Amino acid sequence: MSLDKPFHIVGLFLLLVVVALIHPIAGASAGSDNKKVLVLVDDHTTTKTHSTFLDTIKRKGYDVTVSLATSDEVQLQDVETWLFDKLVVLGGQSKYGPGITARKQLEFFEAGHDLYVAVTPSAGSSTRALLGRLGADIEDSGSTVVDHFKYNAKIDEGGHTAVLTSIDDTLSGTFTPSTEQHDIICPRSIGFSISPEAYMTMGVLHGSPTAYSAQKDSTAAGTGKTALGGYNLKLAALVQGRNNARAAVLGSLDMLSNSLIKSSKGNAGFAIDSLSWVFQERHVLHASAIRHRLVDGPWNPPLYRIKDDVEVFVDIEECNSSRCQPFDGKDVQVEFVMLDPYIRKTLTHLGNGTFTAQVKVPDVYGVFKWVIDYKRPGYSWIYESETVPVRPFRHYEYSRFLSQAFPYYGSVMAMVVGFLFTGAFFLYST
Amino acid sequence: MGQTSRPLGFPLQEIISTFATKYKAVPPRLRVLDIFACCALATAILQFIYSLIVGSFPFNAFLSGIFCCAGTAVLTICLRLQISEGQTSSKTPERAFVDYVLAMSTLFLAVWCYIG
Repeated sequence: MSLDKPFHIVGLFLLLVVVALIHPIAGASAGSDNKKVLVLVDDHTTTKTHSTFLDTIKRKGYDVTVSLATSDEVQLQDVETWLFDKLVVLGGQSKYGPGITARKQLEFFEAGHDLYVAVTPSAGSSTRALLGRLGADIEDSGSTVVDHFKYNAKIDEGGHTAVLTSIDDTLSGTFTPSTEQHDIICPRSIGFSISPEAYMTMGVLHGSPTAYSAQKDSTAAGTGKTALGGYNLKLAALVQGRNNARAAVLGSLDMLSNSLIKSSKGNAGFAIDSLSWVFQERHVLHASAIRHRLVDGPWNPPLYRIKDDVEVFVDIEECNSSRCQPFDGKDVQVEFVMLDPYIRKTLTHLGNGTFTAQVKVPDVYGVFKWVIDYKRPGYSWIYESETVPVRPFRHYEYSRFLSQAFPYYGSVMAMVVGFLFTGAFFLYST
Repeated sequence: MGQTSRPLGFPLQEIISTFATKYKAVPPRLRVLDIFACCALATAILQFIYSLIVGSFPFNAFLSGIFCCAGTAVLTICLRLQISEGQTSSKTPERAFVDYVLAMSTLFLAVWCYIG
């Protein structure tokens, strides 16, 4: 017995070690499928007034956590791991808690996660900064968008702030047809402008020609600077980041409230469509690596020669939340670039998502790149590149007998023939 | 023979007529050689004019064409000199012809290698 005891102890110890190692693996497998959403609200009345919107998110299958924006306990990131996959900010008024500052939210976006922000006219400075980084320059605090001609009289509280607008034409196709046909009401919204350099930010809703941005507590347009109004006054924008993370900026929190979703088809459609777009459920494009070869040659050779005939292939698929299908793009182009594109050709769609083009390598040698750079509003961005060196002719690959030298060849032939006849005459004449 | 003053300093008409009568005495063998040499020279001049118009781009082809024609002309004239009467060397006409053939073959070999 004195020999068995240490044996038992060692066995138990090993068992504990094994259990401790297995447990985290078992725990991790039952979870994150890219579905954890954090919703930040300014106060709990928002949770009640926007319950339909929150239920829409829940019904899509997401795991929703609602929290106050000022909360000390909730965090976006735990050292290196992101604890949530998507973030929805409703309000943006209060000062954020330490785990969810505006800087953290921007890092969250830059890490590839999606962001949906709806602000009120009294948006705080940190939210303003975040939206500025997303490309939307918000008007001064307290400004509202006023339109004395195009407003919804039933909802409006007197200041003509329940502005009517509709989906911008550049993003037609990104929203469902019924959303594009109906007017969308944006009560109590703050306008913003999108700088032309912010190419990632696309304005979805803009003011009508009679809309303008009014100062705080008045209906006068801003003085001392150009007032924002008309087409340049944006009420909602979609952002497609370079890392293909998506964000939405809405200038009006009230347009997502229960009463407006119930009463306006346009608002309901816009809420659902913009949410599904931002959460990468629609219009997500994935491209395979570029394949290239000499026509009917081996795939991806390490080197090409000038004036070769080369064909290039790429597979692009368009993914929804449920499945992926071949993308039917008509304007995908491939470029053959060495500092500048030497060739730019539109790819033809072969059917099952495979796009191809046939190209003659230009008469320049060097290191080239096949580049597919496809950026269209509403679709995720594709950037694929393959580097391929191109060599000049080897000395035996130049054409040998040139047509310009035919007279010289002819003269030599004539000399040979003449010599033979002369020799024959010399030998065989009497 | 011409005493009266003429526009040219030499009697061109008489030179041509004397040459024509004397040339009738030349045997056919030598005449063939003469014709061949003249044709070769003409071909060389034609090639040169062509290169002046179009450019001498495949320069090796240009040089080999010109030298082939000039070379055949020269060698043919050498053969004619060696064969015609009044030569004091001890070479027989057969030996001269063999030399001609060998020289032309070497010329054609070099030209053919250089032309393309």
